[in-house]
Amino acid sequence: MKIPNVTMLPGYLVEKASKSKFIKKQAILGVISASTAAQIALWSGVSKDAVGCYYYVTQSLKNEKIPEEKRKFVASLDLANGILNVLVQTLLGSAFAKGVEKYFNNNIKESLFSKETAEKKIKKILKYNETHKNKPKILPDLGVNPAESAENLAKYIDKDIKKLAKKEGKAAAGFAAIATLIITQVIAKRVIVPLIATPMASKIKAKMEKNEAGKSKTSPNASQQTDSTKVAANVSKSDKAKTPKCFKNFR
Amino acid sequence: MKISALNESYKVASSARKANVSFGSAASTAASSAAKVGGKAAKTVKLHWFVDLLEWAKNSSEKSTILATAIGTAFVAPIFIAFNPFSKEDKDTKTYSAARQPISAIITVFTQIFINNKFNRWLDRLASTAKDGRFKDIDLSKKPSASYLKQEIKHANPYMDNKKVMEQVKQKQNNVLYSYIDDERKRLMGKDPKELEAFIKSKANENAETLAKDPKYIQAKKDLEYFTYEKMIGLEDYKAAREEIELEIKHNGKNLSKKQLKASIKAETTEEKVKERAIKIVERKVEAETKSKWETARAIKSGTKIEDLLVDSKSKKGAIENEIKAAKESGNHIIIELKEQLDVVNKRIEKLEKDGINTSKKYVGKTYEDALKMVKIKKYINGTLSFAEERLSKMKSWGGIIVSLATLPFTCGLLNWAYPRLMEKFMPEVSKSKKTKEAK
Repeated sequence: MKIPNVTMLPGYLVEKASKSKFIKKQAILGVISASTAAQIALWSGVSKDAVGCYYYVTQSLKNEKIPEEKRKFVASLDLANGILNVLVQTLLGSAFAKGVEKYFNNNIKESLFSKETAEKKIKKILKYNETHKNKPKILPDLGVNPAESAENLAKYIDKDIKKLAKKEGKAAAGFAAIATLIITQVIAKRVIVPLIATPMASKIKAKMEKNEAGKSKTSPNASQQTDSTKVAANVSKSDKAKTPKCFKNFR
Repeated sequence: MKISALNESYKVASSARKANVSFGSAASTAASSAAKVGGKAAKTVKLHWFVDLLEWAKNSSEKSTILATAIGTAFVAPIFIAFNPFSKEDKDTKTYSAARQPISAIITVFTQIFINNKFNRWLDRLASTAKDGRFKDIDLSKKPSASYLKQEIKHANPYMDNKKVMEQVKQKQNNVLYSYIDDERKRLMGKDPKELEAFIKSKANENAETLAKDPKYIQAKKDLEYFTYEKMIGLEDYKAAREEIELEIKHNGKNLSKKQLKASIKAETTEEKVKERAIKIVERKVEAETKSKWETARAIKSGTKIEDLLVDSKSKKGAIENEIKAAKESGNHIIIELKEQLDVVNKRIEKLEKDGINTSKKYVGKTYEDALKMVKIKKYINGTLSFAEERLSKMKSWGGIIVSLATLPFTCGLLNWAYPRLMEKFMPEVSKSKKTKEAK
């Protein structure tokens, strides 16, 4: 397929992608299994965390606006977060993906889509409207007024169930996606990972400083250390003696 | 003669359909005027808000991921960074680092959701205006997406009420689709699938390059697809096929262990076997629907009252529902076929109640074969569209991830620029460097 000019490139890529085996397979899998939605949610988060990690770390290290003593910790935290996010999310997300679909089918689907549940909700609203005629709750329009007669109520319930049944497949996929997002993006990424990443960041930062100190010792200019540098080194040693333990890591 | 008589029935059907489409809007207008209570417009209750939320999560895919990430980033992460008992950093450093999270969340939400929306709208436009064979696999020109139509209508009528916009969207979607189905039926009614097959077979020995440029051959192949069960398979048929195979194995293999059942299901649900079963299901559905329509039309023509037909249909419905209940309890795979039958009966009841005596004039034709053709044509079109819709949905999901990744350098850069400046302005004590503090 020839691309006449660069402006046609996006359309060309979309056309190619729509014909691809991957998209065709995904379309079938998406209807057969709700776990496809969970996988998309998982890989969306993991890929962004992996790519974002690189950008956040490099930009934090170069950002002179961040105070120097905080810069390394911020960058170390970004790196620790990135590595842990990818690992923990992949592990938890993959482990839960199929279980989530099973849980929905066994425990939630029945109550969400049953005729009894719909009937209960509709009757509750009709009862409420009887006592709140000034401020009634308006039921969705399905072409028949359920308040008119028992027959109309039965028709309304049937229509409601029919409309609801069409959403069953999507609801299962949506549940799998939301559950995966809560497990990976809230629990794994925001609770488990920061608990581990914060102390891990301190260690990464210490290693960064050690590497930097090692590089400055072995650099060709080391022998040409001026007196002022030596004085600075001595000053920092004496400062260490005065500075409390909790600030040790910022040297 | 035959075609002109059928054309007449199409005109009746089309005008009846247009009337039915406006029925929905009239009812909703009545509802919306009734919904004004005390001068204020009352809101319609969301009966199944949780199901709607789950449906939104599935449809919006990337947007729901962005929002879930942002909620976790803004509200949960700062707590576990700032009050982390395992960290040896000082309080200021932890607070400084923790405060970065909500800033990051806000920037991500605004930039990524904005770009994601634009991307999805662009895909909808491409699919809804597809022509000349471009974007064939996501061609929704016969059933334009609601978001595309909404943009078009809003563009033409910027001050129109949102509810009216959505009514017009639904009306237009139905009109475009049903007009297309009618046109295709008109075009294909006179064609004989066997003649088409014979014509294609007669060209079998010709050069492939020549055939690729032969418009008659290409058209014949395309027309034959409308009458081929394999080409009529829709996504729901794939789903039903797989479910039926699984239920059959579970029902017949009650003595097997879980491992054996799993292995058996895996062996029997290969792509080929599922496709084979889906073809059978499509054949079953098409024949059941044709039979129902044909018998209803003949009954009305012979003078049977609509009320009697309704009573008969409703008693059939009750019987099928009882059978479904029993099949559900026993885990019998026959439940899939019973649900199809229930669907056919429900459609019959709906049409009888809505169209009454006109039910017989709709979509049936003069012979059983004509009725079968009409049902096949509609099934083919709906099946093709269901695949196109799902492919578009998957392209939005995976394409959304790629687009979000592409915007990451920008969002990271923006965060890097905004974060220290915002911290200096709103939390200066935490932001000051140790050297500055010590110097003071």
